[in-house]
Amino acid sequence: MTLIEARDVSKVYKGESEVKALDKVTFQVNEGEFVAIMGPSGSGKSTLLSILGVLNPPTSGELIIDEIKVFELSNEKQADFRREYLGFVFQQFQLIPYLTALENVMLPLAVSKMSKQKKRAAAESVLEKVGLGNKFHRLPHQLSGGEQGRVAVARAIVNEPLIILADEPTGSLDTKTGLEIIELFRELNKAGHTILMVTHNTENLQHVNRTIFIRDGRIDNN
Amino acid sequence: MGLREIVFNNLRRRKGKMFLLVTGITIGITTVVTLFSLTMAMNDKMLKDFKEAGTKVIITPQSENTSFSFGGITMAANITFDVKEMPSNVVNILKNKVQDLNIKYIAPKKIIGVKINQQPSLLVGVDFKNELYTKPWLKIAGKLPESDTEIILGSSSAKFLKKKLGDTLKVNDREFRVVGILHETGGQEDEIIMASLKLVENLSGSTNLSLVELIIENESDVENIKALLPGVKVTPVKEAMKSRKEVIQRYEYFAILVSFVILIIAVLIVLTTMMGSVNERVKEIGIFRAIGFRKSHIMKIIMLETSITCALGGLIGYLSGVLVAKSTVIFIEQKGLFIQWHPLLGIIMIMGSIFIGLLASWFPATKAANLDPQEALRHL
Repeated sequence: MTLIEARDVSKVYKGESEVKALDKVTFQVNEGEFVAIMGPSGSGKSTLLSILGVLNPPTSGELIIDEIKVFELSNEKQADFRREYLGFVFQQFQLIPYLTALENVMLPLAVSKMSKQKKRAAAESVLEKVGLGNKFHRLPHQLSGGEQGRVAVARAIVNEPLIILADEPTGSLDTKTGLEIIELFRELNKAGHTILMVTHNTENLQHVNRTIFIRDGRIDNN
Repeated sequence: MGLREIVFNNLRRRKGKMFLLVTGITIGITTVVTLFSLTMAMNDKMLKDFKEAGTKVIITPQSENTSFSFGGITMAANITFDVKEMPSNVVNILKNKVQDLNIKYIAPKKIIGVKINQQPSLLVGVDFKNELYTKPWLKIAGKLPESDTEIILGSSSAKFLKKKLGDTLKVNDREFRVVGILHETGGQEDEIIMASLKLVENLSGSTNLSLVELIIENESDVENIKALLPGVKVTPVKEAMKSRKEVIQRYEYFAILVSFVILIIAVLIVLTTMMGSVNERVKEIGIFRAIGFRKSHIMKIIMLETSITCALGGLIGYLSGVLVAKSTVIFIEQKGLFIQWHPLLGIIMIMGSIFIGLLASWFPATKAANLDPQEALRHL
C-alpha cells in the first residue's frame, strides 16, 4: 500500500541566483519499506528529506502521506502531523544537551495529553528496546556516539510514528557503531516502521529494500 | 516530561544567564520598592503627626476689608496698620469649653502698629508658653521676655535693625531690651517683633485681640466652635498639612518617574537577554519544531522561562527593597518613620515583574516561534 507519494516535487531557492534543488521529483514509497536516498553532495537529497519531513514546502508539486496532502495543512496542523506521523533521526543525532537520555526520549511526548507516568513508561520502554535500559539518567555528553545514536532512534520512535526519516545517521560513527544503528533500523523496519534514510555510505545499501538516487535535483534511474 | 520540565531544565542549565536576568530585575524592583516604602512611611508618619499634634484653628474678627498674612495664616485687616480686633472675652468663652471642645492650647495674639526709628512696624503680643506650642519650629537664642521692658526679634528684624541680644530698641519712644532673637525659619516669623501680650495691651490701651490660635484634638469640633463664637471667623488651618503633603507628593512623582525609567530599563534587559537566548537556541528550537512542537508551544517555553525568572527577581527585589528602606531609615536616623512589610506591594511587584517579563519576551518569543524549522535545522 502506498504510504508516501511525491508528485512532480520541485524546489527552487531564490537568492542572488536561482538554485533548482529539486526538479519534478516523482516517486512512491510503500508502507513497511526501508528506502535509502543517495546522491553526491548538493544533489538535493537533504532538501528532499526536509520536504518529506514536512519542514520545507516544495515550490511546486504535491506530497501525499497516508492520503493527506500535507502541505495543504495549516502551519500548526503540519506540526501536529509531524508529531503523529514522523520520527526524525538528525545528523549527529542532535540530542538536547541539558536533558537526560530519558528526557530526550520523552521530548516528542512533551506536548501530548498523556499522563506523566504513561510518557515515562513509553520512553523507558523504547530506551530498553534500543539497549539503553541502564542509562536513563545519563546526559548526552556522558554517552558514547553509538549510545547517542540509540537515544536519537528511541526519540524518533517513542510516539510510534508510521515513518522514520534519518539524515545520515551513521555519518559521524565508526563502522562498527554505524552498523549497530543500521541493525536497529532493520529491526524497526521489521516491526513495521517505514524508513527513509539519507546516506553516503554504500555499505548501508545492502540493508535497505530500495535506493532512490538523486543527481542534480532529479531521480537518477540509472 | 512537559513544557514546564523543559523550561526548568533549561533554567538550571543556563544558570549564568538566569542569574544576570534575576539580578537585573532584582535591582530594578529593589529601587522601586525602596522608594515606595519610604513614601508610604512618610505618608503614614505625616498622618500620625497631624493626628497627634491636633488641628490648628484660627479665630479672627469678621472683616470685609482686605486681609494680610502672618505666620502662614491670613488675618482680616484694614488697609492701614490698624488691624481689626475682637473682644478678649473670646478667650474666656473658649477656656470655659476646653473640656467639651477638646481644646489643647489657646494662643491669643494682639498685633499693633508701632513706630521704630520713626518707621512704621508691627508689634505682636503673644502668650509665649502657648505660642511656642502652636509653633514648635520656633527656636530662640536668648530667653523669653520676663518683664514689660523686654522683647524678642525675628532674625531678619534683628539684622535690619542691627540689634543683638542685650541691645535696646526704641518702640513708640519707649526703650526695650532685646532678650531673644528667633532662629531663622525662612518664614514670616523672621520679620516680626514679639512682646508679651500684656505689654502690647498696655501699649495700645486695649485688651481686644487680633487673632486666637487654637489646637483642638478633633477637626469635627470646628463647627461647634463656630456655633459658640458667632461674631468671629473660625478657620481650620490646613496649609501646613497641605504643604507637607505637597512635598511627599513631589517625592511620590519622583518615585513614579524613577519606576518608569526602571521599567524601561528592565524591559530592555529582558528583551536583550531573551533575544540572545533565542539566537543561541535556534538549533534547539528547530529540533522542537521538527518533532512536532507548535508555534504556541515554543512561545509558551520562552515566556514561561521569562515569567519564572522575573517573578523570582520581583520576589527578591521586594524583600531586599523593604530591607534597604529599613536600613535607609536607620542610616538617616529618621525617628518615627516605620517601614512596613506591605504584602500587597509585594504581590504588585511580583505581578509587575511578570508583566515586564511577558511584555519584553513577547518579541523574542514570537521570533522563536516563527523560526522556519527548515532554516533552524540548517544549523544542524
